[in-house]
Amino acid sequence: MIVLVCLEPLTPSRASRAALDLALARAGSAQVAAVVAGGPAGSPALELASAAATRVVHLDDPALDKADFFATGMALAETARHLGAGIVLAGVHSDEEGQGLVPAAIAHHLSAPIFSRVLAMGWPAGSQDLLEVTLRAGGRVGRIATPLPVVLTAEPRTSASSARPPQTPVTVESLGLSQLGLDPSRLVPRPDLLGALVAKS
Amino acid sequence: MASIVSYIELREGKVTGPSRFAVSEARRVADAAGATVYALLTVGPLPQAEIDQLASEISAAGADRILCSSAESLAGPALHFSHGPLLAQVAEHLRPLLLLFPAGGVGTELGPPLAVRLGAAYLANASIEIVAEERVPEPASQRVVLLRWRAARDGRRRIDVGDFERPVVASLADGQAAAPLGEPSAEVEMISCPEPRPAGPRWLGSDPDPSEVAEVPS
Repeated sequence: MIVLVCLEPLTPSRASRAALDLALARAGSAQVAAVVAGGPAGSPALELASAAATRVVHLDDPALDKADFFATGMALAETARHLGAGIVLAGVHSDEEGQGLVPAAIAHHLSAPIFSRVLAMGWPAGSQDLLEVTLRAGGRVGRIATPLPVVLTAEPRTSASSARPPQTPVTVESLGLSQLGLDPSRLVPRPDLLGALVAKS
Repeated sequence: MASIVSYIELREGKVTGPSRFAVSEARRVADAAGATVYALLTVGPLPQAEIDQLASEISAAGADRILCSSAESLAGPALHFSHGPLLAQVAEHLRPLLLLFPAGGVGTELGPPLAVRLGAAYLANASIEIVAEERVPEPASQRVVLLRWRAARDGRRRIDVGDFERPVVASLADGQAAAPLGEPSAEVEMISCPEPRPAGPRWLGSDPDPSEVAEVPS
């Protein structure tokens, strides 16, 4: 079983750091992999991932620098398929835009259920096909049993990240979109779906 | 006529304050743009009298029509796996210009997946402004603009609803509903809920969330 954590390029958001913490704390015997879509080699996101995960993928394609949430979600979903990940974890939203559309796009492209505001996850005794997810919803803390694949999002943590034993950084694998079966020329950005950006005066 | 759909969240069987505010905002937009306000109420199995009581409260907040779906699968908190297919069904049937979610976690849970499925524009934590046309149209008209600060606070996102052929999905920033804007007598239409997938996710149980005191209905 592979748990794939999605980190924003450049600097990961507080929420995606919480997602990484959740994966490392709750993955059990599953392998924790991380993916960064876009950004330069050696970015803080890749440094963080390679110091924590057992496998790190950098989606390295210029098309991703202009990609919208839908295309980014498609690329991340294809990465999950490529790696055989059953669980995809991401921050509930970025620190820049703060809309939370990329995880929804990943779930859409994987045809997978999505659960936000996840607090914990684990495997019911004897099960590898079902994941038990603890989450906040509707003023309650609930437990859900869900089949895989599934997309989970974590909220930003207010406390410091949990301590992890240091590890020797793993080698970052670089993947192009064409290696995932995606044609970069067809990833037409639709920035209007987020609204026009009016700069702060 | 154009339509606006406002999702109603219940807590402990009561309509939340943010949901009443969302309906009142939908009413304000509908009055400016000329649209019908539909409120979407999702409940577990309930006696008709209780549904009518909830519908009366929602219509008093400003809804023209109440769409109500009552099913065992809708009894728990609103999550995409249980409520998303119904929302998509309503959106694809009505093709509203605007789909509003109340402030709080329900918008985070349901808004982005619905927007992605519909290919809709999306704003989280939005506020709504009604602005006069810059030109002088005949007859006079107003524009509906949704605004939100980016999380980085370096600028605002702005959506003019009239510019879109697609629907706009938005969760609203918190706000206080004005005095009742409608009559407590809107028509209630019961709608069926898509059957849940047999091997799909299922609830195992839940307890009150002590950290969400601030989101309890007012």
